[in-house]
Amino acid sequence: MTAGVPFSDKPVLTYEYELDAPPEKVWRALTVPEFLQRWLVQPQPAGDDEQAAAASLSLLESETGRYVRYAMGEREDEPAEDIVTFLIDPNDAGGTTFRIVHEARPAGKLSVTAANGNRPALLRAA
Amino acid sequence: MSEAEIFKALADPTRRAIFERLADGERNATELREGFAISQPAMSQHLAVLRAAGLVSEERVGRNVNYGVDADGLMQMYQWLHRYRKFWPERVDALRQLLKEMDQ
Repeated sequence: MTAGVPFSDKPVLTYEYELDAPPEKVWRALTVPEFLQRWLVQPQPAGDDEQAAAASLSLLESETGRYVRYAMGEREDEPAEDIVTFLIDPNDAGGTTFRIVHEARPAGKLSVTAANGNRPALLRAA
Repeated sequence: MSEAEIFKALADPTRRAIFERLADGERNATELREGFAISQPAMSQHLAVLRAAGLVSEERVGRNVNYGVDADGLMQMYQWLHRYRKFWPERVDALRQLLKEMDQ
């Protein structure tokens, strides 16, 4: 695993992992709402500082089997703030190289509508 | 002050150098400019950006203004990094577990 925090106009975190599962399977885990709720998205009350999961995800764009990009909200009562991109590539061991690029969105630069309801806003990747 | 502002403030190498100098201890404007080949207005601009980001604070002492590191701004940046450095490794552990269960 590697992680880096380059100084740029906005905070960006990048991670890279090797997963045993093949890319097709990882892709489903990254895009099917039922699977996303099992590893990434869980509704949580406002004011909970022990953040352990995303409160909401809204699909921004994707290319099947290559990458998917979401607006990620930390708390249900706040607009989605950050942009998270998942990129996958087959590795030599028959598994998947999985990269995460997490950008903190500068306030007011983008206007993706946040989830207003109590349920996470989940969209299926095309 | 926001996390984005903090990182933008530190994206500039000169501002980073100014900030590092202040991390050594408080300086007034004259002391702060020593060794920097920049004009007083340019220094003022940089200090304004650092102050807007909440990284640098100023304190008037008699006729001088002393500049120093703002602990609150640093704490905010630390908290953002801390939150997500913990967040993603934990989420990826859960992803690995899910991938195993998807076999069944």
